[in-house]
Formats: sequence, structure tokens, C-alpha cells
Amino acid sequence: MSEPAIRIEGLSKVYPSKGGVTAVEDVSLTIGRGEIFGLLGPNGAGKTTMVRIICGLIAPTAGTVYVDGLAVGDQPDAVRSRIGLVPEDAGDYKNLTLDEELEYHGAMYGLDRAAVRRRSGPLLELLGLRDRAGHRLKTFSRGMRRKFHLIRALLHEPRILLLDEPTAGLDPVIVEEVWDLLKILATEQHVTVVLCSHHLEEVERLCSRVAILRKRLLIEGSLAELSGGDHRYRLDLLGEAAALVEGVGRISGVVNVKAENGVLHFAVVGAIEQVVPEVVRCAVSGGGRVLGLTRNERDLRSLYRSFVNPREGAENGGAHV
Amino acid sequence: MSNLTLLRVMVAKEIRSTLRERSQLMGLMLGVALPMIIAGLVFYQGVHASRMRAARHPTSSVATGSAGRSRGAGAPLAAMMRMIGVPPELMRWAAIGLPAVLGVFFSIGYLMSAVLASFVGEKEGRTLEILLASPISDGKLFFVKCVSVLLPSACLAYVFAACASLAAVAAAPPELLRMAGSALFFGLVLGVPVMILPQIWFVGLGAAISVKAETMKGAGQVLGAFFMIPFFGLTYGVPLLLQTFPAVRARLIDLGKWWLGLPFMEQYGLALLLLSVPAVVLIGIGRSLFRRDRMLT
Repeated sequence: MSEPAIRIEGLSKVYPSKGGVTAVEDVSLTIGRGEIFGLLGPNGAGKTTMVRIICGLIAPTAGTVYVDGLAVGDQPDAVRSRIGLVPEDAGDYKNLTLDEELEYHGAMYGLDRAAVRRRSGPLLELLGLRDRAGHRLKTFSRGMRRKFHLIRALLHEPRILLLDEPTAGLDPVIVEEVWDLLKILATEQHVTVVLCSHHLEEVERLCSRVAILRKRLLIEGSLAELSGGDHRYRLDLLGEAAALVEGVGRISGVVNVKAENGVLHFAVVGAIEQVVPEVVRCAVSGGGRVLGLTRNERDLRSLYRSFVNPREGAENGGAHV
Repeated sequence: MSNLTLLRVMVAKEIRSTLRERSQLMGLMLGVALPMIIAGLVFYQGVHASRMRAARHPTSSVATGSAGRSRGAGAPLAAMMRMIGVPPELMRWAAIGLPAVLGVFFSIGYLMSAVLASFVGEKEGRTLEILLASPISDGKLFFVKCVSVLLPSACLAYVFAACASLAAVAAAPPELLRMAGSALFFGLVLGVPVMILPQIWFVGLGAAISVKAETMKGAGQVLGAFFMIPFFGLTYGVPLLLQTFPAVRARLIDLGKWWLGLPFMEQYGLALLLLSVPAVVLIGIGRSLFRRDRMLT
């Protein structure tokens, strides 16, 4: 089995200079190659700290991070050469032109001017900045600067791209352009993308797996696993459902059966294609008049709320997985 | 890509940033234009006075001893030196020290703004994180940044030294020229290390302050305070010390006599050594503090 793109083991970070604040606590995580991985969490959850630790910009208090099998603490320069970073509030040298800053940034990665031109050309074309190459960055709009930040991060052809709120504050057209670029990078060039975002639609659209962080890792998995991992259903009936609880509860693979007026709630832990029809048959044979069957899928928003604000999540029918 | 190419790109970036940033451009103007204007005026005054003298006394030469000293183009400078009490054996140092001190002073405006922009400015402009995410080691990054700031500043100081030396050639008293051999040689060759070493102090100090400072304004205030400490130390502290402790004064006079008794090149070597110690210490402090994990926390 090949080494994952990023492997995090027991990662903790305490900032003594900030009064001993714990930013990240005992986080373990694995991110595969060519995956777009969403890292979610409220402000101050430790996302930026994690990104900085992965880049080797700050040292963890405990734990180890491996990038492409290399321990960040042991070979930080080799790790950094594999990573492209777009911080949330990234800046640029406003008095330089786009070309000049790309040349400057390329030099940091050992690229000469010709290599910078060769690599940046297609990216500038793709993101519509080709005709702005000779303009100073201070004349760029926020959206153009954000696209430039992405190009800058991709200049050295990194295998891993760490993005912190890459589309925050951008107009929908630019957001779509950025999303398209990220999809191309992941699917065609097998670049691993770690996406820190509060933009849940973005995460749903792009990410194959997500993790929710609030100092500790609250949950991690694919969107399908997280949204429907417990296969919860509701059966709407004409009349009371209480009489069916006992019969449905006896079916193998059915758990947590509850009646609520004309609704029968249940969860399936076995093969749903066999168990769910069996529940419907049982309800019909028990005298129930079935109006409808609905799978209770939680979208990312309700899932996020249930973890970040458990009380609100419970009120919305969410629960900890 | 070689280190030299990296250095070239970083120096080019510093120079472009300076030329396109109004506040830094002011520092540059102060560093270059002002000394050139002063030198130009002095040079003009010297040439003009020489012509007038030649017209009045066609048979006199520049090297006419005391006559030249009292009436020549360098008369005001010679009078000033006598007034200050510069002994003849220190005339060589006047040829090095005056341009060097003024060169450092006038390039310091540029140097301070450049060193702060290069270190704290990266924090303030949110470019530091990107820079630190590059695969360049801490030490290499620190030294390349230091050199990229120091090179333009040293060039500025050198330009000033050239101007000042040129002015000295035109306006210097004959005894200065005779004893020094060549003001240009002393000012431009021997004066360069004397100009650059104090600049290294500021680069090291600026880098050290930048690690903790969050804004250029704050760092500038701290750096300014450090700049003022030697100033007040020399103007108030040293005389007070000498007045309060006569034994120290006597010891320093002995030390001065011993130093003056040395051959000139030994004096020069010792002076460079004294200037090098703070440069090495301050660069060392800056380097030891310049660590990725300290810059972003």
C-alpha cells in the first residue's frame, strides 16, 4: 500500500506565548493522494495551526506529521518543496508586477525565469490573468489577487496544495473558476488538496472527505458516510404508529425504533436493500397504512452544526456519530 | 539555481520595491541626492576658489605649505580641523572617517526603512508566511535577506563616500592631501569597511527586532531608540563618565596614545576589529532569533 499524502499522528500544539492556549489536541488523520479533503471548524478551531504545522512553519508540541512519507520535523525543506500554500489572508508585493513576483517566488523554489514563464503561462491563461502579467499587483482586484495567489502556490508544481479559505469574498464567477481548477488538479494531476473553508457548499461540491475540527478531531469521513452513516428512516403512516414499534423492532438489522404520532422512526444497521422493504411489509401486514418512506440524510450544514454547536444540532434532529 | 541567482532576484526585488514605494524612495533620495548636492557645492566652491587663487597668484602652487593652508580652497576645512583640535597624525583618519561617518549617516535613512520593510514589512504585508513556506533554510533565508538589504545600502554609502572624497580632493588642505597620499584612496578603499560594518549592526539589530515586532511603526520606534542610545551615550554619557571617573579618563588617554603610536595599518586593523565585534554579535543575535517557528507565533 502506498504512503498517504499526509499522515498526522497524535498532533498537539500549545502556544506558551499566548498564555498556554491549546490550538490542536491529539489529532490523528490520514489524507490520500489526489484527494480533495475538507477541513472544517469554527474560528479558532486550530485549522490554520494545523496547516502551518503541515508546512513546517511551526513546530508541534506533540505528535508527528508525515508528508509523502517524510517527517516534517526531520526534513522540513524537502516537505516544503512538495507543498503549495495559499493562506487565508495571503499578501503580495504590491509594487511588483505579476511577472516580477512570480519570478521572485520561483527563485525561492530554484526556478529560473524561463521555467517560471513556462509553468505560469497555462495557469495565467486558465484563470484569465494572461493580459495582466505586466501590471503591478496593487492594481488587481481582490478576486484577481486571489487567483494570482493560487498560481503562485502552483508554480513549483506541488504535490500537495493547502488552501485556507481560497474563495472567501470572491464573486460567484471567480469561485466557479477556482473550483474548476481544483477539480482539474485533483483528478488530472493527482494533486492532494486540503481545503480549509467555512463555505460548506464549496466543501460539499469539491471534497471527497471531510473532517470537523475543534481543537480535537470531532469527526472524519466521506460525505456519504457522515451524512447517512446510520441509515435513519422515517415511515409516514395514516393514523398512529405506536402499534407497529414492537413488530418492526423485531426485524433483524433494525434499531432505534420510535413512534411519534403518525411517524415511525427507525435506523438500519444491516443491508438496507433487504431490511427496508421488510420494514414496509411488516408495517403493512401490521395494519399500517403507509403514506411515504423518507431517508433522513443530514446535509453537511446540519452535520456541521450538530458538532460545532451540539445543542443546536440536537434541536435540528442531529446527533453525534 | 545558484545562491547568486537567488540573491540577484532578491536584490532586484528590494530595489524595485524601494524605487516604487514613496516612503522608501524618500530614504533613497536622502541617501544619494543630498550628499551629491553637498559634494557638488563643495567641489564647485573648491574649483572656483582655486581658479581665483591662480588668477591672483599665478606663481603659487597647491603644495606651498602654510601659505596654502591659510589661503587655499581648503582653508575653511583646515581651520575647522585646527579648531576641533585634530592632531596631524589623525589626518589620515579624517580622510576615511568623515566620508564614512557621513556615508553611514545619510544611508541610514534608506537602510532603516529597507531593513524594516524586508523583515517586519513581510509580516505586515502578509507575505512572510509564503516566504517561510519556501524550501529555503532559515539561515540561507536570513543571510540572503540581510545581503539584499545591505547591498543597495552599501552602494548608497559608497556613492556618498565618492562624493565626499571628491569634494575633499577639491577642498582639502594641502597637509591633509600630503599626509593621506590620496583622499580618494583613503575614502573609497579603506573607508568602505568603516562604512559597511555599522550598517551590518543595523541590519542585525533590525532583523532581531523584527522577529518580535508586528508592525513597521513599532519596530521603527524600537530601532530608533537603539539608534539614539549611542548618540546620547557619546554626547552625554561618555563626558559624564570621564568627568566622574578620572582614572578611566587617564586610562583612555593612555590607550589613545598607545593607539596613535601604532603604525597606521595596525590602527586601521584594530578599528575594523572593534567595528566588527558588534556587527558579528548583532547579526548573530538576529540569526539566532530568525526561526520559522518564532516568526509566526
